[in-house]
This record gives sequence, C-alpha cells and structure tokens, in this order.
Amino acid sequence: MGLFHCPLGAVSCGDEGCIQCGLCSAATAQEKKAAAEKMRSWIREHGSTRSDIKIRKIAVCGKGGAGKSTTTALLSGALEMLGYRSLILDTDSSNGGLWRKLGLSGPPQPLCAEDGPPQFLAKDPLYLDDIAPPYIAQNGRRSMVLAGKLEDPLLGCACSIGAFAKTLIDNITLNPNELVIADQEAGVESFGRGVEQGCDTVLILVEPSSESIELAEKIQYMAQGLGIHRIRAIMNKVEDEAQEEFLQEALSARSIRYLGALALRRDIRSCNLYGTGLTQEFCYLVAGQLARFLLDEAEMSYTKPKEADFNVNA
Amino acid sequence: MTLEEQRAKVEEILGSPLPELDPVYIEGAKVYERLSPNTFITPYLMSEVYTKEEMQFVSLLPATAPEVAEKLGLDADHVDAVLTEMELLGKIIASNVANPRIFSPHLNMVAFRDSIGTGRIAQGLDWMPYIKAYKLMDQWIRVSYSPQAAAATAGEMRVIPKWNSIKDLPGVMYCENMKEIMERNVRNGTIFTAQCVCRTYRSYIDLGRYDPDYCKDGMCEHGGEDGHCFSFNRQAEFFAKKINVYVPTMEEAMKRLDEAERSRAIYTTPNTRDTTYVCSCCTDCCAIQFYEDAGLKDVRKPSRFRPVWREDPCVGCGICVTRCNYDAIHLENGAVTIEEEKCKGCGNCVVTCPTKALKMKIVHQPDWVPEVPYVDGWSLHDELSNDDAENMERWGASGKKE
Repeated sequence: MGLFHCPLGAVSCGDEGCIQCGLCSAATAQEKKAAAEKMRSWIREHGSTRSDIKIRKIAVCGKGGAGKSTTTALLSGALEMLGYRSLILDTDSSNGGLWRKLGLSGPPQPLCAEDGPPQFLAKDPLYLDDIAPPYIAQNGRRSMVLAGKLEDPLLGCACSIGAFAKTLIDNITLNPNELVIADQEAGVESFGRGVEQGCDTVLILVEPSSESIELAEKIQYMAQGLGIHRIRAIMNKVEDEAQEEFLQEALSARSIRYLGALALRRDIRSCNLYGTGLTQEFCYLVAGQLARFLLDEAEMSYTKPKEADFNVNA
Repeated sequence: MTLEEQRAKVEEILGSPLPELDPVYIEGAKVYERLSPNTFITPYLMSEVYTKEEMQFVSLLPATAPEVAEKLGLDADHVDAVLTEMELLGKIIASNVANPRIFSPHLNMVAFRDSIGTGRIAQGLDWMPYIKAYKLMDQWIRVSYSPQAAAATAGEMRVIPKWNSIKDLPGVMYCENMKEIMERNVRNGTIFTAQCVCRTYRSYIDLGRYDPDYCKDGMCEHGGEDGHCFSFNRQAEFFAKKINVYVPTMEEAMKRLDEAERSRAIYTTPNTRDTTYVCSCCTDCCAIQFYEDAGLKDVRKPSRFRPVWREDPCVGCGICVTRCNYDAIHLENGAVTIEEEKCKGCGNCVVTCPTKALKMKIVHQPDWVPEVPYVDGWSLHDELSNDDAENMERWGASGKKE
C-alpha cells in the first residue's frame, strides 16, 4: 500500500536514473524499509540531488558602518562551529579591521600587488588548498584573503582590486563543507563591477535607519539583476523589539526576506575598539541561530555543537 | 463499508442485476486483497478497467513482457505492445531500467486513479467510456481502512505551508518554500502545470462532463495552461518530452501560485525533500482528503510550522475558524486556541487573518522532512548532525572534486 512516488523520479521517467531500490513495488512496511535503506546509502554517497540550491559563495553587502565586517566574522565563526570551513575574502579596499576580528595575527598579503597577481589565481579549477601563504592567513577553519588595499593617495581607483576579487570568486571550486564569504565594499559600487556575479547568496546588512532600508532595496534589485536568487537581509545593531518589528515590516513591504537580527552589543563594540578577535564560541552564541537558518534554507547539513564545548568569554 | 453496502453501490453504478464476472477478474482482484477489505467492489472495478487479456497479464505482474509471454505461450512482441499501451494509458507502471522493462500493477487506488486520469488528460481522450470505472474507484477509495493500512500510509505525504504564511519567516527550507520551488523550476525549465485529475473526476462523475467552473474552492481550470497541479524536476522534464503538457512562463507560474494561495487548497507533496510534484488539494474533490476522511488520518504529515496567536492585533472576526479544513482552530470569548493534534500547519488561517494576529513559527527541526520516504525522520542532515566532526569531514571528502 502506498501513494507510490519514486524519490528519484525514475519511474515513468524514461527509466533514467533508476537505482533499482525496489520502492516502487514494495507493498509492506518491511519491503519499504529495505528499499529505503538502499535509497539511503545512495543519498549518503551522492549527497542531495538538488545541488543548485546549496550555498557556496556568499557576498555580504550593506551601507557603510552597518556591520559587514563584524557580521562576516561572526557568521564565519558560527559556521566553523557547525563544521564549515570558510574562505573570507576582504574586498573592502579602504577598511582594514577584518583580520583582527577573525583573530589573525596579521593581514595576509594583498592579491593586487605591484609585481602582478599570484600564480594560483590563473588555476582552473582553483581549490581552497591552492591558495598559499603569504596570500592567505588562517585561524582554525577560517582563512582570509585580501583583494587589495588603497594606502597611498592618488594611486587610482579600486577597480583593479575588484577585478581580482571577481576572478577569485568565479574560479574557486569548493567542497561541500567549504564556503566563500566575500566582505564587500559599502554601497552598490561593487555591483557595478559585477564582483558578486559568481556568488549564489547575498546577505544585506540593515541597521535601524531609513537610508539603510532604502539601500537594501537597491542592493536586492542589483543582485537580482546579476541573477542571484538567494538574497537575505540581516538586521544589525537592533536595540529593542519595537525596532526589530519595524524593520521586519519595512523589509517585508519591500519583499526582502530576512534571516534574523543581531542585537547591538557592548562586548562586540569593545572587541572592535580594542582590536581583539571574536572567538568561534562567542560567534556561535551571537550568530549561531542565524548561521543555522542560513544553512537550513539551503538544506545544508551541519554538525550540532555540543553545549559543553561552550566557553562564552569573548 | 460492509459487503452489502458495497454491493448496493456497485448495483447503483453497474445496474441490477449485476453483470456476470469472468473468473479472471476475481483472480486479478486478489492483488488488492491485502490492501483493503474492499473485496466486493474490486473485481467489478477490474472488469471495467481491463480487458480479459489485460487482466490476465496484470495478474502475472511484476514481470517483463517476455516473461508474461512465456507463461501464457503468447508472442512476446504482442505482449510488449499491449503492456506498453497500458502503461501509456496509466493502467500499469513500468518500473525499472532493466532491459527488457519490468511492468508492475498500481498497488494503490489513488495512484491508479491519478495515473489513468493523467493518461487521458495528456492524450486528450474522452473520459466517458470509462465513467463506470471512475465511479467504482470513487467508492473504492472511500471505504474504511484497516489499522495496518493506516500504519503503512502514515506520513507518505506532507503539507507545504502557504507561501504567504511563511514569506517573512527565517529558516524555511527550500522544499517548504513554494515560491522558491516554482521560481527555480521555471528557471531550470523543469515545471509543468496540469489540469487537476481529482477535479476532473469530480466533474465527470457528478455532471457527466468536464466543467471548468465546477470547483467550490474556485480553482477553475480549462486545461494545463491554467492548472494548479504542479510537476517539477525530472518528472516534469520527462513529461514535457513525452506528452503534451503546459510549461508556464515565470509570470504564468506566479499567477497560478497566487490563485492557489488565495484558495482554501492545501499544498501536498510526497514526504521527501525532492519535491517532484505539488498538489493544490481542495476540500471538495481531493483524493487525499477522502483518505483522511476514511480513517487514514496520518497520510498527510503536518508541516514544520504552526500558527501562533497574538492577542493584541486580533479583532475576533473568526475568519481563521472558517478557513481551517481540520477544525483545529477555535474562537472562544475573544481568545483563539489551536489544537496541536489536529493542526497540519498549512497556513490557511495565517494568510486569511486580516490583522496579522496569526503568525507562523517553526516547531520541528529540518530533519522532520526526510530525504528518503518511509523511514521516519531520516535525513542526511540528521545523520550528520548527530555524528562527530570526523564524519562531517568524510562527507565533505566524498563530495567529489571534478
């Protein structure tokens, strides 16, 4: 008995893709269990059949000062606790504090240098392990790459830096437990250069201000124009429930989906002031729910951190 | 339904006295014996659906055409032609990649009925020559079921909430997000819309013809181009190649979604993450509704979401009460209560609340929706969640580098 449905869509689909699990002719609970066991091992081996809904490359966007770098650090830390390795790409050419938030001892060497880009950028496919120091700095499962820095006046614009960032995002090939998180420049200029084109997910940081909400709408429009379908807002620096509810309504009215809210926290501001890193345990405490929702929406698996592992002193 | 009651129904449909049954149909009906106590109707139903020769073949399934031919001493090409034609008309399924193909009977009456109906819609055939069979099926699926049948069908389907009820909720999986499902499949060219089989049956049985406006819930369909029966992924790809189905544009797909959103329909899909199709199940004609009414209460597994009532915005209008198909929501002295046991998390009450006093919340972990049907709760997600990080790495490694 069963409202029979082939999980692989093979039955009555021109016989393609059938793994002969026998589910279609199973009439008893035992037969079904046995067939499902075969299906289970197939899925274990092949992962999900819907690979295009997974998250691989994330662009973090938003207004200047909305908290892109801090959220990048928090999210990558929380994702580390969930078993994900992330490559954080800092494309922000004018703001250099991300490495501190990640707890690195110093920034990596920028990809955009006078003597030309590093060799590995030309590799295709390019794996995460192909990127070697000094161009990468690592802390646990989080590693960081810097696209470039504008340090002296009148040296030109950031366009070439954006081009390196784009190449890296486009070329890198990731394993299922690896992610790229690109901390973008403030505003929408990077969209003009198409830096986000290789990304499948855009996260928009929204702080409690009307400019921030308006910019979020613009960013969503630009991202959709690049063909990106998963666009989510994260409300940051939220002080109370009323603010959160107002932001939710405002985003909903603009058809922007959101992942959640990060509260305005004194301890994070202190970290930013003193330049101390955000530990992964702390990141998980603050942004764990956010990270889990992000993965859930893309039906991605994760290891649940054990409560006992927590040491919540930032 | 007792045997006497069944007999009365069959007499009503086929006329009294009942036609004499060839023994081949009594033999053939045994396929369904262990599934349902519905032993009186089945052989008559078989005689309306299959010719004597076809019934003979079906009794020997699952088997390949040469196997059937050998057992009956017939020409293999002839048997193959008959079985292939039967499959096209939805009377049996061809179930394997094996060469030659293995044919199987439909073990389930709703799947049987759907498949025959879909075959006729797809090929533009008149339904009336089979009307007696449909009427018998209609009675067949309304009998009361055994506890074994209830256990075997529990959780076969699941409810997807109305998109408007969860559109602002974080953490909604792709397989629960109707808009994302539709959009992605339109982009990938793996969607088609079809005229609902259940609705077509209802109309033919009640009126003797197909009337697009014959739907209490306002899902009026003139064919595939404005249908609310959604097929996705490989199922859609295959059908699009084989038969004349309607592949909607993004605009049309969104219009169909909007119509379904505004109706009383409950989105129902097989209980896996691989959403191969979504039924927009109305209250008046849906076969799954009949199942539920006939005692298979758990055929449809609730979604991961439940409505939460907030007192402040509520004006006590009671619309939510009238929109619930499960009598799970009640209004008493200005307070709304939701019966957890009855609620299927379909979102009908949430989308119709004029003051947004009802909002959805997530009440189950993602592994509530399994990756494989029939193994309750199992998913790769679940397995990885409960194992240590080492397993995670191993899984990561098996995601092949190309």
